[in-house]
Amino acid sequence: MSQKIFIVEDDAILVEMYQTKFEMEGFEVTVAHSGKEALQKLKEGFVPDLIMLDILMPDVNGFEALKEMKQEPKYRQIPVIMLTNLGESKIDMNKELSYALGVRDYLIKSRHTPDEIVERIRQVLS
Amino acid sequence: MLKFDITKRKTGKIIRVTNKLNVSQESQADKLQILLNQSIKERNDLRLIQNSMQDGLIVFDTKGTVLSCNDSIKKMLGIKDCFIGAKRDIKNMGQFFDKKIIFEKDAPLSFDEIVNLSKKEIDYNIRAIDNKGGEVVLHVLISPIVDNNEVVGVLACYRDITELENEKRKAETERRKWEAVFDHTADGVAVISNNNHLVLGVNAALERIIGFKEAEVIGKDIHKFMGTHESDKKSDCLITKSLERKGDESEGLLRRSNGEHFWAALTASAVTDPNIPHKGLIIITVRDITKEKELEQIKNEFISIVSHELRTPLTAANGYLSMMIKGDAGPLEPKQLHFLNRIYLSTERMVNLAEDLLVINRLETHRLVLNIVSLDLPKILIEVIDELTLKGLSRQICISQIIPKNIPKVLADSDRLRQILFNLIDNAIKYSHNGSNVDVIVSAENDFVKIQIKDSGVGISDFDRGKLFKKFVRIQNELSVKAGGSGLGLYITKNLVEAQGGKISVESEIGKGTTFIFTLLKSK
Repeated sequence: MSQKIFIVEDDAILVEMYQTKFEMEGFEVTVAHSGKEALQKLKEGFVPDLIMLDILMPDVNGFEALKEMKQEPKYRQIPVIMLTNLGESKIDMNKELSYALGVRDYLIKSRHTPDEIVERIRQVLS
Repeated sequence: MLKFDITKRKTGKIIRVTNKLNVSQESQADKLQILLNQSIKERNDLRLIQNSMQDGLIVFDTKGTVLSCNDSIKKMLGIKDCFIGAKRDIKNMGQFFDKKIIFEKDAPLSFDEIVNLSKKEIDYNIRAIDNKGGEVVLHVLISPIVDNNEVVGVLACYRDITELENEKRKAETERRKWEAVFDHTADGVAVISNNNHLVLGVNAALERIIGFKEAEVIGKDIHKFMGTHESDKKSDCLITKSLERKGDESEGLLRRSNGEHFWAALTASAVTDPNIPHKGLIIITVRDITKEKELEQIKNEFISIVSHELRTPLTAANGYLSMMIKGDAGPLEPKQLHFLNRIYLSTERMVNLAEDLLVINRLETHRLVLNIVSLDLPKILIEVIDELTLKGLSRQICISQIIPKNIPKVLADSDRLRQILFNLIDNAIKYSHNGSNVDVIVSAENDFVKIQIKDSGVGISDFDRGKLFKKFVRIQNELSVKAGGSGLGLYITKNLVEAQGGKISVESEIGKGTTFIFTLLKSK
């Protein structure tokens, strides 16, 4: 059975790129275009194997979504990789709390090719 | 009646006076002569003293007749021969002199006025101008000559104060000049005492900036009304900070009279002259930099937003390119692959530029967060060299390292140390000729660990070395076109080294090569 990756990202082009790549690599991909949409899908019962979470999104941002989803026991163990293009100072402000909530890594999108991100996903899932 | 026999010499000198009673009065004649001689001598001595004096002297009787004057006054005023014995009023004295005399406005005009001032001294200044326009300024002191409580004459003493007046005029001109500068400069200026920071003076600009009038703050502690420090800690005081930095600007928040805080740039310079009271002065300049801070904030936000907004489309471009190059969209013709690689390299450069701009923005706004820990430098160095070995080998450039055993650990941020090493070694490769060597040498010295990156490439001129660490500077030489780059790498490297407590320098010779040297603090 394919492992399920939940991509939460508001940029449509990036969503398409990652979805194409991850599916090529054999993952099953579900997409949400905002934090609010992501929380809704989770409430409807969707349980992924890994969440790729963007930070800067309209309505609910990545950190807020993370805090809320982790209140639910069934989502506490799900690994999260934060994908972002934000400056590091903004990340550093929330890093400690994020790691406490199950974030395994921060990846700056512009610094990593889709292949490198897939590699990282495999490391986390193993 | 007494009869006398008088005996005289041929010269007429009386040698004996005898009376019919034969009492000799020879000694009385001698005494008279002695007295007479003494009197003449005293008069001659007085004249000698008078004429030796630099000050001019005129002696008048109580009617205003000139009894005598000395040589000095004759020279000063160009006195004519008919002056002695002349009886004239002060106002009309000018006719006896070769020079034109101009009295100051408070000078007494009538001789009687002087005599009638009842034994008081009076003084005033006059100007004597010769026919060539040469001017002397004389200070005149008129004193009554008093004998047995009665005014028997008037003494006028004249002192040449031309040089003194010229100095005074110059000093006054200078004072007015600097007063004008003080009052009209756009920056606020305050002068405070060195020993207790009490205000001695402020200019109009500071009154406007702070909102207090000078009269309200004179004699007060500057910290109390300007808020130059919010606590008693000396370290919080902007004035102390600037003094410690030898008058360099310190930026901080000051307080206006209405309680509003504002951003200011302040400099403080000490004037320690033992002749000045209060153990010297401190000159403070204040610039209201509110607008500059607002612009800086707008600029920083703009750079942050733009860099972030640039990164997103670049992520997509780079991502799709890498997938195509890998073959995820199907096989490619060699030419297609070559073109895609070129596009990928270009987008990589744009990604790096956006990255560099963000780092610079953070450095310059002091928002760069460093995680300083004790690090194994050789391990990180070897990893960076491994990363760049392939690049070097593509141009037959060998990277060698000299790392002694037992090199102490260093205090640094792991990611930033990698960035520094990568920048410098990558530069060394870029600016080396094919087939040459790049050497990396590590050594421990005192409290530092020193890292040298040597190449035997084209070298850098003295002129170019001076601007090497500035933003957007790219040195032009035979290899710079191929090397590429935004001109930000060394600026970032320098700032990262210094942010971690180290120093960086460069040695170079044209045609022989370049050595970059930087240090890091030893971990204790």
